[in-house]
Amino acid sequence: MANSRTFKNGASALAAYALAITAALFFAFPIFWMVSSSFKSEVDISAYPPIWSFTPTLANYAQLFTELNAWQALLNSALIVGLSTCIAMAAGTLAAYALARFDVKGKEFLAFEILSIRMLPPIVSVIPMFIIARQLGIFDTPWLLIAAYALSGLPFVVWVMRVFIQDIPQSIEEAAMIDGCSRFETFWRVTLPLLLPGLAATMVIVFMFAWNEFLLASMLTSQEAKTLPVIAANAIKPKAIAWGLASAAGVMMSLPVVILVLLMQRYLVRGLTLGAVKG
Amino acid sequence: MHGSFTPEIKRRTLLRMLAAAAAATALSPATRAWAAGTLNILNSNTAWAGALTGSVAKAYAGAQITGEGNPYEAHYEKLLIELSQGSSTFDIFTTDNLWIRQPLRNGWASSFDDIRAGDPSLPEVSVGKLAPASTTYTEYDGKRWGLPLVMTTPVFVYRKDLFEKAGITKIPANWDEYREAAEKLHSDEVAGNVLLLGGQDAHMSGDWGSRLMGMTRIAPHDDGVLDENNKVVFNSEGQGARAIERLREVLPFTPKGVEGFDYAEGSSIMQQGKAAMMITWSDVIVGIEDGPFKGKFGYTVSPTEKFEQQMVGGWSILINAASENKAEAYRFLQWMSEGEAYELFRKNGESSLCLQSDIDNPEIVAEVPMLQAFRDFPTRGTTPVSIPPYRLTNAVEVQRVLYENILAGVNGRKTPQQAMEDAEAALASVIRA
Amino acid sequence: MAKTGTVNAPGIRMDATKAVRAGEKSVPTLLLAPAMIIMTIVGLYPLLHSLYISLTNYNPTFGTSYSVIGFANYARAFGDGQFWYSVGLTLAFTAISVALSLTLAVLLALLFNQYRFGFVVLRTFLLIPMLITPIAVGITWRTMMMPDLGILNYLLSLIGVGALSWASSPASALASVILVDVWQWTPFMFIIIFAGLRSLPKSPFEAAAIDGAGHIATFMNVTLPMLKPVIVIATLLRIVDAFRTYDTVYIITRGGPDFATDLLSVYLQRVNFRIFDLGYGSALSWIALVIVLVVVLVFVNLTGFLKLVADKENR
Repeated sequence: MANSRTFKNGASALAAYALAITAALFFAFPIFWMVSSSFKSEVDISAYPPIWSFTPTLANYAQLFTELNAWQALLNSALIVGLSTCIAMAAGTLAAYALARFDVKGKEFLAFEILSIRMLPPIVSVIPMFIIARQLGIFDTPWLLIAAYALSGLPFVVWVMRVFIQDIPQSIEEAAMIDGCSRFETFWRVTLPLLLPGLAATMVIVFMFAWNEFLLASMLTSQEAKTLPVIAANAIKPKAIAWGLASAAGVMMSLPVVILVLLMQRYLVRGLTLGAVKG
Repeated sequence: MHGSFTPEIKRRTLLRMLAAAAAATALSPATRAWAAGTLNILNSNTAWAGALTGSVAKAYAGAQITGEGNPYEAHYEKLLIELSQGSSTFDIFTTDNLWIRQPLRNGWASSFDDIRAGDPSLPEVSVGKLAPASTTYTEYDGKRWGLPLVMTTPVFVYRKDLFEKAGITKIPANWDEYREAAEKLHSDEVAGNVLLLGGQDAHMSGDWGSRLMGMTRIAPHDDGVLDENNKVVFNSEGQGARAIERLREVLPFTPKGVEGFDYAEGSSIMQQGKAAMMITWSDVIVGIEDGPFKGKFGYTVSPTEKFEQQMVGGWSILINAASENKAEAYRFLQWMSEGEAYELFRKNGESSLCLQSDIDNPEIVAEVPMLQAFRDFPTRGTTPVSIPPYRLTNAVEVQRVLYENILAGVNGRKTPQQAMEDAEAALASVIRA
Repeated sequence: MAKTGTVNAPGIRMDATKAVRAGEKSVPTLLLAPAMIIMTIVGLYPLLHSLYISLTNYNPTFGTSYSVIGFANYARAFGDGQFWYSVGLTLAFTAISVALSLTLAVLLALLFNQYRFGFVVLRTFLLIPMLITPIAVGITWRTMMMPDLGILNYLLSLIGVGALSWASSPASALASVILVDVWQWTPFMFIIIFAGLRSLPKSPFEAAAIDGAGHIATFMNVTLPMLKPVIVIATLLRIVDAFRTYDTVYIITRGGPDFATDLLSVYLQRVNFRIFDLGYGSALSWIALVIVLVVVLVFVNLTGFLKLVADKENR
């Protein structure tokens, strides 16, 4: 009896590890391939059969920084995406709070209206935005993209934060208000601290979407406000693709987000946990 | 899940992050007016484009040259949006010759003649040092509007060593010989030839166009697809359908996955020795000599049917009509026409050259073997034809219609004749005179 | 810090809540104001502009003059076979891709919910794909899937499987781009569902164990119902995004081969930004919006989403 149970446990552990490792390999392999390609010369990249051991070269990265001016783009990206994420988080969380806690007239309609920002194909707004930007003199400045990304981040923040807020029992807030706190104080001192993990998790995802956005960035910037995806796309040459350069650009672009997420992984899971429904 | 997570600290951090981000934004230059003496170029991201804002900009003393490099499709989108909205972001723009009539016909460019009429002190531009076939695109309405940057043509690339092994002594000069060679060279390891069915430009112009050009006598101002009055002529004698059949007969001798191939895949396959022959644009094949089969490639002008005619395309550089620095832009282009800039293109690795002295110089041909194709033009008696359908403002749309129908003919969804008739019918509403 | 998030709220007095709310009539308006201002300033003008353009024949390829042609663009859309083909293709792409990544995400969440040595590290790998910029994802997969030179066929040949044509044959191209989409976005679904799973209370599971329910029965009767709100939200957001998938697909196949992956987003991009038929393209985009909206509403109705939300609020 005991033996068969040990065997059964051992077998299920083995199966669990086999599945988990397979899954990890499936998701990690293309990343590994991209990273290793970024250190290959153009000849090694298209070599067949594919080569696993090669003399790594930093040529692709050097080209990225010298030719494509990646530093400037990195700074632009950090500034634009950072600020627009903050704006989307602030405005979106307040709206989510209103939707979650108050009897707003037609709020489901409002919620879907906000979500519909994400449904309209982004190409339709490019030309109007270009025209406005030129009239206001903000073409090729960070402001335009900050506004655009704040808008496109809004739906996600509103929808996800609304669930997080709903998960915080109203009784906690009411207790604070009965103790004499104003609505604002209650929010600031009681609700917000409880929301922080959820805010962090949402922020990472909103940040990620804006960080990777290409179409608007490509059309609404020229030299001063270029972001990283625009630089990465430049590795696609008119009639060929510089595979190594493109991989290097991909790695460099992804690195900040990956580091951010790995650092916050615990809060990410935890934050989203708070968003779940409690039995 | 119980981390040492203090909400108070986290909240303060959040605020601090916000403040820092706001401060950083305030400090960054919101707008930057271009100082006089700076010329901004809407640029591509190729070898010549790199030189234009690199070594060429350095060599030019008259103004500071800046530029924005773009991938091919974003380049077209930017060109159209910027110029159609009358934006002066760019003083100078570069354009694929396929798109060139759009700015010309819409009044988005300024001609050299008009700029000089406004400022007679400007020196005259001479294009005498450039290959004649490359300079025709920038002539329009009896005026000169700009300069060529590079000159391209469909080049027949083949593996000399594989030809030898298969006992092919005569380089195919017509499509029958090409088909026989493809069949002879084809094996499980190495495909006989490459087609590029997955790319709009690659398949329509590179594959189909290169075959179409030799089928009928093309009048001096026609481009093989349209005549001078923009009437469709590509299947007037069934030549469009015949060109499709020419593609169908070599389709069995292509590598796996050919339906998804665009320029990049075609070049990689050749570079890695997985195919023996390819017809493709001269600016595409730069990288193949960097692979393990360096030195084993031969280059010549592409085979033909009855008439020695082949497309010559390339890129050009023009002045934005909305620019505030037109005279300075003119001076820069005048300086370019003197030739040094074109030498710098070559030194930066460009191979589709348009400086006549480069094409005539055997040492440079040894260095850039691809140039042999242009040297073969006079020996074969090849007449250059403009790339179709460059004369239209919506060339990209017309190319799309042609591509979709050619593809349907090549992969057998339609008969070649049906495909061409459908293309003609669809184009009737797309071509505006 | 105490586990504040899981504090239960026994017996909320609804009347008290309403009393508190009575004196705060303007508060929700103030709270909604920033979001509404952003939506109006940044969002509304482009929308109105594109709605207007959709009633014209504006095509900057032919210069800047244009005329208003009423609803002709909308009428034209109904006869546009390529448009409806791409709508169908996008519906199939979205349905298959979202269903696959949902299933995979649930299974992976169950797997990684076990506390085993090393699982935290392995779990990390599952997060990365969604963080990679779509352009880089597209380029990497395009090289990996090249039939003659790609690593995937090489790996298959090592285990004795013949070469596949992946994205370069019409028969397998859609499946290939779905594979890439599933690869990239399963992590997104996984992290949300995994977090949901971790937060479930223990008592219902203990009760099920006492009743002697098997693994599958426990999953169907206990886990799944409790996870439903999380799954529904994750799926909803994913559907909306899958509909707009563009960068990766365009880089891998450009809509080909032979239209096999000519998704709505690819077609819209072509009409709007290659052909620049902006009047017609804007009309198509608005029709596309209506289609997504219908899909979302059907989904919301099928899942009883609004009731789920209302139930939570009135707890």
